[in-house]
Amino acid sequence: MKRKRILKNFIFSWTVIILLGMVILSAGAQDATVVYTEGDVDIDHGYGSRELALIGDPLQNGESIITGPVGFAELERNTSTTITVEPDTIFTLEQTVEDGEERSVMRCTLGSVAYRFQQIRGKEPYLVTPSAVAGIRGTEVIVTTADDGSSLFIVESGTVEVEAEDSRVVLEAEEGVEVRPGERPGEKFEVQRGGIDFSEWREARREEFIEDPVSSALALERRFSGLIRKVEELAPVYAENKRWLEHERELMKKIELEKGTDAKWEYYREKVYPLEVDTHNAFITLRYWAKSAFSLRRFVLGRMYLSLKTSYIENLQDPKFVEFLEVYRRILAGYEDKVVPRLKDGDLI
Amino acid sequence: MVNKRIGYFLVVLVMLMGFGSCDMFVNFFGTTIDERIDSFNDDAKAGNYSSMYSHFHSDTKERDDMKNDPNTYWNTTPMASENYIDSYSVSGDTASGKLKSGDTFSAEMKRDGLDYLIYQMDFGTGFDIRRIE
Repeated sequence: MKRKRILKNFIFSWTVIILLGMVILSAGAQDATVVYTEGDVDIDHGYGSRELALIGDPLQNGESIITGPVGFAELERNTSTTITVEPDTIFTLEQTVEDGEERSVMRCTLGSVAYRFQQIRGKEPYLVTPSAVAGIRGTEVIVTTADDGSSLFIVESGTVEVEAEDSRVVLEAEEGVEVRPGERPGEKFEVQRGGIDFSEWREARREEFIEDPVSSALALERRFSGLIRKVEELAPVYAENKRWLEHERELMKKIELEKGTDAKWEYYREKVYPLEVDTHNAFITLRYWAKSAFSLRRFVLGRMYLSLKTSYIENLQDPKFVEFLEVYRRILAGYEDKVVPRLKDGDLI
Repeated sequence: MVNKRIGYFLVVLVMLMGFGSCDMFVNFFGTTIDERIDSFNDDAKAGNYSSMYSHFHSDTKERDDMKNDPNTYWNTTPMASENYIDSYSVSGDTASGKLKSGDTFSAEMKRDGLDYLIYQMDFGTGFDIRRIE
């Protein structure tokens, strides 16, 4: 009887150890892990691949969590960051390069995401919405994005710096700010914990947009113009780096013929390798801005169009809708012309 | 009696799981770290950019980029400068060594079943590190 109990304990202990080991090994490799889901929650892997999110699934750079009307998910990152994704939300993990260093980006394209950062290793991530970018310092923050691309940042603890249209607002605990697309952050306001009904705020933004769609579309056009400017600034930098890299590689081959292999590799270290790194960084940054514009087009502008068409379905000749369509088509033309060539086929699926 | 049999079965199962993680099985049936690094290097030398993604673990973040746009991806790496792996040694799950240029590289490997795949690679030294991840 006693031997049996010892054997049982032995088997149980080893099974637990092995399972724990497997969990720890798999958790260390990914950017975030889904620790809880409820209702409709999908992981969009990019390149057209989307599947149901399950507890324990990893979420990596470039991947999104998409929750349905009753979907809810919680993610953990490095055991020190908790990300709560509310219903009807699109949350994406990305990365960009700033001053030669990679920075993690957490994007809330639509809906509401709450972040709790207990301890951050390395550079702090950026929290991005269609209308603003926020830097954080030891923080609990809730980010909500409305259908028209407006966003609301509410800080529960720590400090958040919200930036939009080259203007910054620093939020401390129990402070919030609203940012509309293409506009500077609004006046910050005080907020008590749990004092804001985010669904009410989103609905109010939606009603305002239906009432005055042209203003919302023009605001979004300003935001698009800003993103296209970034793409246009970086595209020639990347093209020039690429061209220069090819030129230097040819030169390297000539040096080998004329001065030998050692001279070739010395030239590689001095000239070619730094250029490889710069070209890669330019590519990553260019892609980041192009994908930001894509995200705005797909999830914000696309939804705006659908919502408005549904609201004006009985009178599509209404001047408000007609004027909105003009701005909408103008945005699409700029997007197709300047952004789409910078995206890959897989990004567009 | 039945409980005893289940007990033996579980012991054998646990032992098999333990043995399964041994390199002995990888050596016989899977791809070792050396084999993986060598075949990655062979593909790089042959300019087979479109198949190089297959040496990387599915957890590697940039694997989709390697697969879907291999020329753009590999063009900014030392491989496109004909700077291949010259020599290396393996310690644990990491292969590290030198490139043709004399610069260093290290590759963190990760198992998928019985196959070792590259999870992350660092080229260069000091602050100027080009990471494939």
